[in-house]
This record gives sequence, structure tokens and C-alpha cells, in this order.
Amino acid sequence: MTESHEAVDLKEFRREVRAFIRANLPDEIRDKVRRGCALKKEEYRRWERILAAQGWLVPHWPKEWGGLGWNSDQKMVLDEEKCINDCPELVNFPYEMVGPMLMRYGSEGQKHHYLPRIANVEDWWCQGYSEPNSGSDLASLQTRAELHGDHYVVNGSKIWTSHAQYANRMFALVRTSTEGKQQEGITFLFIDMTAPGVSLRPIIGIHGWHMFNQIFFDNVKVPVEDRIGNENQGWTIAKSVLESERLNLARVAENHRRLRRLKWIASQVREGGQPLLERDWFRNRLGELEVRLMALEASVARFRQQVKVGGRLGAETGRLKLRGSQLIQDFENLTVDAVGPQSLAFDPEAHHGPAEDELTPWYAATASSRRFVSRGYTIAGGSSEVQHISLAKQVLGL
Amino acid sequence: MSTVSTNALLNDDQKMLVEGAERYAKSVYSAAARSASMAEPEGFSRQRWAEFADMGWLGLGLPEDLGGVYGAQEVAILLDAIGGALVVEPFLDNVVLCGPLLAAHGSAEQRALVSSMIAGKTQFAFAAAEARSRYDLYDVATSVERTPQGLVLTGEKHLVACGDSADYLLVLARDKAMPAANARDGLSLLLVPRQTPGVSTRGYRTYDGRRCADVVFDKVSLPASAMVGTAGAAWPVVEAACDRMHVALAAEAAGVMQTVLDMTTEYARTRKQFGRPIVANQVYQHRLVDMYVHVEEARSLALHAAAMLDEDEAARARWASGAKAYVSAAGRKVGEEGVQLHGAIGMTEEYAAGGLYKRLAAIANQYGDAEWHYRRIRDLADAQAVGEMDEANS
Repeated sequence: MTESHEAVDLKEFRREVRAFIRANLPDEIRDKVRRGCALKKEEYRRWERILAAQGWLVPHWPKEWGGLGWNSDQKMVLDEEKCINDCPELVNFPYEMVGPMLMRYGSEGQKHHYLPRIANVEDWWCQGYSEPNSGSDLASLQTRAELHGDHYVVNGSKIWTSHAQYANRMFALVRTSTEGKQQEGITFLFIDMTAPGVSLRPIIGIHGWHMFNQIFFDNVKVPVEDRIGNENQGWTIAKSVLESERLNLARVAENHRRLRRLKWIASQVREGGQPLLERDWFRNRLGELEVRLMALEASVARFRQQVKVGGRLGAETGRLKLRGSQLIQDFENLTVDAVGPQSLAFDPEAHHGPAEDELTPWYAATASSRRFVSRGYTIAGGSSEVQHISLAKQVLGL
Repeated sequence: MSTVSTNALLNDDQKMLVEGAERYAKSVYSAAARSASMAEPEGFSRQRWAEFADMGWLGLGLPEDLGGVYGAQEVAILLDAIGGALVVEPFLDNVVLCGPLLAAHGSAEQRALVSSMIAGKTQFAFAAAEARSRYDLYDVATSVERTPQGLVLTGEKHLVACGDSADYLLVLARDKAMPAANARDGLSLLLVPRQTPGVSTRGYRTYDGRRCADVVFDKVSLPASAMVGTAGAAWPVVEAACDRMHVALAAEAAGVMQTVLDMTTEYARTRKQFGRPIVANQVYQHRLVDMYVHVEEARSLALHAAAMLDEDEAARARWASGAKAYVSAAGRKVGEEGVQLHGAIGMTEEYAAGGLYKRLAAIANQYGDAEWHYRRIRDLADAQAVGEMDEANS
């Protein structure tokens, strides 16, 4: 990445991080990630525990809560190195969102209960935001929570919930009031996924994997001490947590990982007697994507500089989400085009790891599935259309 | 609007530079003034040039001992700020290309001419490209012969900016005594007074309002002192100079693109059709957002690439090419969108949107188009990338 231009101590730090990852990431996990396979719950957990033992699961948290108090430069280096060195893409809500949110809005009791559990990898968290009738218009959500004495009774449904089949905890936005503006009647709750009345319907993605779920709540009791912040403060809390995540939405490291993988594949695949990497059509298309990645990198560098001189980031960072997600998709499509007609072969076995009798070369087996998954990047977390609307309104003042 | 985010990063000196440039563009370098510049026989205004010198612009990024100030970052910032004015004076050729090259590699005599350029008294033109070269500037047939009496230069150069008005031509030529296996070897740079016998020029306009010339060197006799730097070793020097040019063109393009965006936004707010401003239609809003994204990415790349100019050669070249590739494609696109969203008025000679578009179109086909730079980036990365991946896969 921008390695050669970093301060010397950060360069040294990057070397240390890289050495640690190479020495400690289990080979079978690295291999599955490189192949683009689906990981099992135990595999995620194993890597999280390795990181936790080193203090690198939540190094950006303050020391009093089990962190190392790292600055944003150090955290960025770690995230980049994890990504380009084929570490699992963790479900990082607990470390990046739930934890920081608890530190800011949680009660003392909540902090002491949940923060150590997160830092020690004891729960699996899923996100309960989207609903069947609330996609991009999240504030219209209708899952209802009614206060009955010392607990809420929750009824309704959440959808597109990734990895919910592994989860024992959900952080959820629920409706506690229908008065006034939609945004003002939303409350933040932690819901026990093992509680009576919670049920789950798996949703298979277009790529053939069990990726999403729909969750149903039928009179689920949630103790009032699992409410974060005040009643009807949920929207404010959710928004403030999102703000700290803005620069990651560029997905610079994730795009670098795809670039690297693609270059390697193109050095293996041959066309007209040449490696694809030497074919003009491929070089042109790859070059175009590389330049777009550089534009993202330079943009993030500029925003980071802005933060360092005391500036605040606002809606203008929406362009990072817009372009970062498009680029992911274009890398995935070029990867499929590099694989060529072999990409049509569908081998569900290969999605789970090296198989005995593989239908296609390993890099071909998951290319199409990964490409289909990537269509979600411009839909989730504020679709590209919503980004356009918000940039038009808030940045261009239209 | 979006310039606010840039301003947050500027130091006080840079802010003064930007504000001065914006003031100058508004009060002096108007559309009428630009037309007057273009109508001059030389294709630009000597008066404007003297004002550039007075404002210190001609010394930007040049060594202090020659009268220069600041660095590459300031050159980019100025070009971004002034881009929308579509300045036709040969700023880039002198301050970005020839000036720094001669300051770094020229003899004492040649460096003194750079001082004179900074003061506004001397102008250079960069005579490298030939009709055959397209974007590969090393692909030249112009030759230089070293004889006991001095140098003899023969050949034809194409599209030399201000080639029929500059005092000196900086010529790239192949050394006859150095047959080269690699086309990049055996090249020399010569600084030739335009008035030297045997030099003839044919001037013409480019569609973006600039003046260029084809230049013929017919067995031109020159003293040995005309050589710039080491004979036969000019290519790396030219490449570094071109990278400065790539970044400068990217910065200028960012400024032009910003102006297109501002104008088009303003037009869409005021122009009414079907009983309401056209900007009320979401399709206009979203296309303006796409233009905005291109503007900001171009600006981010230009500033980043400017910071990389002093880094090692590989990083310098990669970012310079990235920035130029980006504006070649996205700049032209923004210019086209400006015309399209204006409608028929955008097609007229008198309305500014057309001039901005033409400048962006011209930039797209100068000093490497998008595809040329994509290939250069790939060439730079090839060996390195496969090596890295082998290591990662071992």
C-alpha cells in the first residue's frame, strides 16, 4: 500500500505485524481464505482467539477495557496487513461497533458485563437492523418493543442478517414509539438469540451459500437492562457509531487483496500461449482498476490528513462507500473474466475447502460465487442509490 | 463547495497562493482577457506572462538559488486553483517541464537562463515529440552528431508548445555515435536558441486555444555547450520531467473539472423546463454527484502524486501515471457531461462549458492517454507483483 512512504517507526511496525500474521495464521485457514472458501464458525473463532491472545483483537480499545490504546495509524496497518495476508474477514461488529458504542452509551453494568466478553471472544454477535419492509429506509422499521415492567416484549422480524445461525447475541434497533418523527421512536436493544420466541429461517444466496437469515420475534422478553442508552435514543446511537467507520468504507485493503489475487490468477491462466497478465485486453482492464484503487487510496489519505489537522468528516465520505463497493465488484468481475468459461462450472464441494477430485483449478472454483456475493456491496450499508441521494443533498446542496 | 475540504489542508502560504490565483482569475484573467491572449501573434500575452512573474508563479517548485520558491505541492495547488481560467500562456512548458529539468541537469550557463525564465525574461519550449512517437517520447528519429567542430542537429519535431515563440528549444535527439539496443538509450538533450540558422518553424493553433509549432532542424550547427547533462543519458531525465508534467496536468484538470461541475450545477438550478428547475430531476442530481466524485478523486490523486514526486523512481512514476490516467478518462467524461447537461447552449463557441470540455479533451490526448498510462503502471508493477505473490503463495 503506501508502505514506502510511511514514517520509519510505522514501517517497522508493519514488518512486525506481517511477521506475526505469517507465523500465527493457521495454514489451513490461510489456504481456505486464499481459495475464497466459506469458513466454519470454529475457524473464525480460532483466529479471533489467536488475535485476542496477542491483544490484537481490540488493540484500538483503551487499556482499561482490555485494549492497547493504539492510534488510528497502527490500527490501519494491522487491518491492511490482516487483509492482504489472507486472514479471515471477521464479523467485526463487536470490535468496531458494539464495544465502542458501549463505552460511549453503556451503563457501568453493561460495560463490565459485555466488554470483557467481547474482548475474550465469548459471544457471537449479529446485527438486527434491516427488516422485510425497511431496507435503505431503515428508520421506517416496525419491529415493536413494548415495556412491561422490567422487560420489553419484542414482536416482529429482521432480515438479511449474516451469520445469525452462529449468533447468540443480536444488537437491534426496535420501535418503541410511533409518535413524532420515525427516527425519534427507535430504541437500541441487545437481544438474546437463544431466548424463547426467537426463530430463524435460513436464506440461501444467489451464489448457493447459506449467508443470510430472517429472524422472527414472537413475544420475546428482553430485560430492560439490555437497553443501550435511553428509550427512543437508538437512532442517534446507531448514527454516531457509523460515523467512526466512515473511512473503512473505501475498502482499500479488501480491494488490494482482490488485486493481488487477480494478478496471481492472471499469471497462471494462459491465453494464446501467453499468461493472461501479458495480454493487452487484460492489462488495460487491470490498469483501469488499479488507477481507481489509487484514487481511493489517495482520497482516504486526504481525508485522514484532514482529521489529523482537526477537521471533521461529514457526508462527503459517502463517495468512498460508493466507489469502494463498485471497485470490489469490478475486481470480482475481472477475476471471473480471467478464469473464463471454466467459471461456469459449479462445484459446491470446493466452496468448503480443498477437495479430493477438484472439478476446476482451485482459483476457478470460487470465482463466480465470490462475484455473485459481491453484488451485495452496493446494496448493503446504504445502497449506491442512497449514497447518490445523500451526496446530492448534503454535499452538493441540491 | 468541495474546495472547502482542500482548504482545510492548506497552510497559510498555500492559502495565500490559492486566494491570489482565484482573485487574479476573476479580476484579470477573464474570458475576454483570454481571447485577447489568444489573438496575440505569439498566441499568448506577454503582459499576462509578466504578471505571472510578478506574482512569483514562474518560480514555483524551482531552486531558491535561481529565484524559485516552494515545491511540487504548490505547483499542483496553483494549477488546481487557476485551471478553470484556461490560461493559454506556456506555464507548464516552462515552470513544470523545462525549468526544473535545466535547473537540475543544466550547465551554469543554462541554469542562469532558468533564473531569467523565473524573472519572466526567457521562455523555453520542449521539443521532444515527433509525429512517429505518439506518446513514446523516446521513439525519435531526430539525431545529433558530435564532430570536432561541435554538434550537428537534424530532424523534425511535432506539436511543440509555443515552438515558434520560445527563446530556446529543449530538443531530444538520438546520438548518432551511440547505436542503442534499447530505444531508451543513446538519447541526448540539447538547448537550442530558436534563432539559430537552420531552425525553421511552422506555427498553428490547437483546438483548446493554445499555440504549437512543428520545428525543422536542418543540419543545425551548435557548440558542444548546447548539450544538457550527459550525452546519451537523457532518458531518465526526460521521464522524470514528464512525470512532473503528468501531475501538473492532473492538477490542472482537477481545477477545470471543478469549474465544469460548479457551472453545470448552477445552470441546472436556474434552467427551468416542464415548469421546474431541471436539477429537481433526480437523474440530474445523480449525474452531478458522479461528476463531483470524479473531481474529488482527480484532486486527491493529483495532490498525492505531487507528494510522491520526490520519492523513489518507482513510486513517483506509478502515482504520476495513476493521476494522469485518471484525468485522461474522468476529465474528458466530466467535460462531456458538462456539455450534455447544459443542452444545446453547451455546444456553442461562446459559452464557457465548451472551452472547458475542449481543454479536458486535449489533456486526455497529451503526455499519454489513459490506456498508455495503464500499460505503464502494469509495466512498472509486473516483475514486482508476481514476485510478491510467489512469496505469499510459498
